[in-house]
Amino acid sequence: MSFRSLLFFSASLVLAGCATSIPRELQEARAAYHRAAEEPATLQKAPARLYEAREALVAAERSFNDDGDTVETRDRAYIAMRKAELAKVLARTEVMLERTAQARSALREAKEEKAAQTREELARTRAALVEEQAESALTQEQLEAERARRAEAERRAAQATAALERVASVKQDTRGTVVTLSGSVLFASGKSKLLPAAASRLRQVADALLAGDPNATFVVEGHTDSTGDPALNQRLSEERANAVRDFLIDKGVPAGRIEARGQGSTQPVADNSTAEGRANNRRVELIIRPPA
Amino acid sequence: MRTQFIGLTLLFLLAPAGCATFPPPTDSLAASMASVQTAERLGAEQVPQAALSLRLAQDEVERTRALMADEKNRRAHLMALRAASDAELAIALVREHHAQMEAQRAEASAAAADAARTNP
Repeated sequence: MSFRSLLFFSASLVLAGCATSIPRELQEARAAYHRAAEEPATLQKAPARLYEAREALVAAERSFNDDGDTVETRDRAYIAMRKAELAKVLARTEVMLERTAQARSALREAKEEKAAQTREELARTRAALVEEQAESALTQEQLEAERARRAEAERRAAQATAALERVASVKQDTRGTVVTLSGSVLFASGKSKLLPAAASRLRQVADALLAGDPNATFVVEGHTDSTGDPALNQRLSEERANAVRDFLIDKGVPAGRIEARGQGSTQPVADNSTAEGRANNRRVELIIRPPA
Repeated sequence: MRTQFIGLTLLFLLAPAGCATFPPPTDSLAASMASVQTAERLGAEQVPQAALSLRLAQDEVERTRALMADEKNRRAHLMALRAASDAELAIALVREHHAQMEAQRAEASAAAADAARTNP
């Protein structure tokens, strides 16, 4: 090459540098910077890095203005692009660290609340337990009292039965305690007015009833033998039962606890064909029903 | 006169390239290598985005060395700066990845505890 063409060649090189199109790297660097700057988080969380990115972009632009599309311009543009991306990534990381911190403090709060809840529950359970124990102590007392009451009732029932057995025949059946008084002791034949001799015995019966279970109820049943008109027997047995009932009420047995019924000849306890049997059938039964 | 003219022209030709006047960029090379090593230690190879940036940085370190061997020091210096920017980005991407995992874990725990509180 001649010297003159060398000159031309070098001159054209210099001129060419000022008139080229913008290199791809510089365009990408500008875009990357704008992307980073647009994100509000970048300025908030990584302002220094964003500034560095801007300085790098400025250096690349200066290189392009001064020397055009050179290798140096492209390198500087590349660096500027990476620095812009770096600023964005650092800002995002800050945001995530803040999220973690918030979540951790929310977790702590939730755990503290749970702990407080558990403490409350525990306190409630303890209080309930204490109450239960107090109640059960009371129930023990009540049980003891109940037992004592029942023992007392049984004692009185035994005493009353013993007393009754001294004046009448006493047996137990499905109806309760049955006190059987002979008809001939209480009434004249065919009559329903109590004999004077019956009074002392019936008085003892009344005492025994009153000494027994205060919740027991009584039924007075009149019975006849099978001789004579059944209708008349029925009426006689009713009148006799009422007579005994009235006497007992008079001696203190509460009226609400004692009933009277006539059974006529319908419930014999002995054979009506013999005199002894008929005598046994002519009776008054006093049924002591224990409370239900 | 002619010799001077040729000399000036030669200077004019060579000056824009500027290779002979620039010292070997040993400092910027060392800095970029240090950043690349940090990125490797942090496990950038395991994090997809970071792995790409790390590879670019490693390539650029090699290119820096080649340029220095070729005595193209100014270019080598800029190549070292490129390597450093890619390595720094790789490091940031690894840290971002870990921070994201951490945030997701912490938020999941908080949500679970919240659910447990309202539904004992």
